[in-house]
Amino acid sequence: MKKDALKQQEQSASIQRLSTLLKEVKPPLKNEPEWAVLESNLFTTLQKPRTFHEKYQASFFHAFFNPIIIVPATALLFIVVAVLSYRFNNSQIDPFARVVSIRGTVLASTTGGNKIDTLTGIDSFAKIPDFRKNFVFRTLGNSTLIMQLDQGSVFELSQNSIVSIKEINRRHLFFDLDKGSMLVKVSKRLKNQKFIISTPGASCSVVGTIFKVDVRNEANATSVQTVLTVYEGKVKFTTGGQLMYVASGQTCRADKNGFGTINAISELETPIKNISALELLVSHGNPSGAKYGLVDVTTQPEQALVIIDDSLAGKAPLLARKTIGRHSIVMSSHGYETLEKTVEIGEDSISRVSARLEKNAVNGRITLHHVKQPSFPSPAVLQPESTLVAVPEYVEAMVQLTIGEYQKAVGILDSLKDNQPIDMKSRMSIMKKINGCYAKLGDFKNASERLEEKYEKSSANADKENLLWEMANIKANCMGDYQGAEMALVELLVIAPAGIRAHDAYGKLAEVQYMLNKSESAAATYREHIKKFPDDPDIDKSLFSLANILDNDTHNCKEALVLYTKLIKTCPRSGYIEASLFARAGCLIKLGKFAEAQNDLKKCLEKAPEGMWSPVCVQLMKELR
Amino acid sequence: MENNQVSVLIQKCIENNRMAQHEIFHLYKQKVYDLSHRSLGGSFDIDDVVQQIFIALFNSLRHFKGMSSFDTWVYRITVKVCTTQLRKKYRKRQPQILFDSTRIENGQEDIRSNPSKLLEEKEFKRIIYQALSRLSPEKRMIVVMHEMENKTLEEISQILKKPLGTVKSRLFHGRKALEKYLRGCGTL
Repeated sequence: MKKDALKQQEQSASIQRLSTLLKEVKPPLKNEPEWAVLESNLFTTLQKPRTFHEKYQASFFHAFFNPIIIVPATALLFIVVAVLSYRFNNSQIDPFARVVSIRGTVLASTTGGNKIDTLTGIDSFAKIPDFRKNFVFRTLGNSTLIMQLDQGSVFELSQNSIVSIKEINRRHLFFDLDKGSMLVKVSKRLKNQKFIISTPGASCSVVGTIFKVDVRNEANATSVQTVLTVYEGKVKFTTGGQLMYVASGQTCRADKNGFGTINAISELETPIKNISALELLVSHGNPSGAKYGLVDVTTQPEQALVIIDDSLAGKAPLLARKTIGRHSIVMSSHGYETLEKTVEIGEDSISRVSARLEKNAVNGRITLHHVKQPSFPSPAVLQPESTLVAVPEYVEAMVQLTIGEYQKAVGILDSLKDNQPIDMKSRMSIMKKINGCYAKLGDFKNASERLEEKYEKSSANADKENLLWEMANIKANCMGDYQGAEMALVELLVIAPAGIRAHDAYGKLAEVQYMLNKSESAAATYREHIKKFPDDPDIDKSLFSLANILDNDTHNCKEALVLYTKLIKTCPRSGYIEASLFARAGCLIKLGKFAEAQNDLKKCLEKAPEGMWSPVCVQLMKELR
Repeated sequence: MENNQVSVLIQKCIENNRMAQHEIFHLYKQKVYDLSHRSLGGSFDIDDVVQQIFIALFNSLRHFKGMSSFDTWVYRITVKVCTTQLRKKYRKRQPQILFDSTRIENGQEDIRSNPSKLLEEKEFKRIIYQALSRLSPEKRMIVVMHEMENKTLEEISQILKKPLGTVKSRLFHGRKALEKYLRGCGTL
């Protein structure tokens, strides 16, 4: 600041006036008794024993500003931080890197070492002292090696490959791929962390992606070629001083002379199953602390239903995460013998189950080809789950259920139950699954009891209506107490027959009654709903469900036919049209009207060529011809 | 009081002699109280602050090496405690509490006989402290010490252990801000 600025300021009249004003402010005077009180308080406080904090506060305060102490203390602190940081960043031992799965025979040795260990299983890996630096793995024919590197990174070394581990630590993951191919999933790297795979003549560096590196020594090529295929993210590809980025869905070839052209990869080339395996291996979300492994099921023919431990897991080929131990796996396909196998799943490893299903002689004979008179498809074809497994959401829900993600499974199943045009039996099956999920998620008895207490105390009809609706939902969905849910819903419809919940209550009540095997009551409830609320936006669901019950449970095909026709005519934009056409065709077949049935099946196929019912439609149309 | 006598008193205080502590208290109580009140205003419990200052003073007496005068050292502690209080208040954003009337009622001057003067004085103090509260604790302490306690810039520099230039600069800007605010209020 300029020297004269303050002086100039002091000379200004307003500052002089300000100084005068400030000087006029005098603290109020204190009289002797007030001072005496203050003094007494002060010395009473001083006489009290001082706490540790009070005792050393002043000492610390003075010591802290003393350069004789502060300089060495700062230097010491700096040294400690530097040492710790260095140790953390350059720690050679990463406790996470480990071999997860060995299939077939893998040879292991140190770089340049004479001793070669033959590994034939995960247990044989225990004899390897340290593989994190200068170590070589070589897979033989039909052998693979899967190694997890950190929380989110894993690689699979395919057959006839050689990889040298240059270095694995918290910062760097360096590999030399001399031969074969490597499928890699890398978690997001920090700025100072590197993941590099070097091949003869090229190098791939990534920051978080899924990719495959293939080293090919083709006879007609002048040098070893490296083929990089990227499935997710971006990979830096370098060769002979040149650099390029290969993005997701692209593949590029390189040798020591330079790069080839970048091509797009087709979906068929994507090793979805292998990638899923790697992703499942590094996936988290295991709050129970249970140990998991993977089971890989393949069948011949494909698309066979796979049931693991009495619960449907999906269609083969399938990869599922299960707790470690023995599991029973049942593979079943229509027209083939059902096969059951037992598999032992190890921690973080992949157990493979491969089965060739034999044609079932009995079932094979009763296929529609050998029946003279056309008939409705055999019950197995129309089993709820056999149609549901064609719905990707259902399979996804089953996978979530299998891995213990009950909340996610409930979300998917709920939306499936309400939004998909599925038949009553499928809906009931889904409801049971939802109950199972809720049972795993918590205890809903208390919640239900609290609602009942609240209901007893409430007097307003609107409150009662809401409480009964909540109670019915908890009882039906979360507790599986359909009897209780039915009582609550009947009461709701008595209290508020035209209330805001009435529309939904009719549908729910019918579902609950159906669950209690009261098909007649359920049909009556649907009838009442259709009669009372003909303009309800969800009326198509009730029409379809009622027709479905009449068709399958009470075998009243004629009335069902009328209802399906009504639905198709009155609700042309309904999501149930495709299912209604198919079901009406079924009714017509039962009534011997094959031409009309064929017509409906054709319409159904036209409406949804890739729909849930299309495979059965095609099959039936063939039979009808 | 001569320097020798003060040194003796300090020595006795360090040895936990209560009489010597009482003596120090009587010697500096008015100075500490005035500076605390001027720098903090009526929104603090000044008695409590004074008590804190004396506790800090007695507890850290053994660190007094005699490099500056004892007066300066007492001032330094007072300024530090007051600055801490101001910072705490700034952090907590306490509402501004005006002076309590009891203090004035107990004053030697019987203001009750002249209510209009009381109101005038209260309003004047309110405006001044309102203006001071707009300054940062550092600037506020410098303005208070220079303008209200009549300390020279060199003395302030010694008390705060800050370069003279810093003190001057803070005083300049503090005054400027006060002038601006009081002009806006129509007080200047």
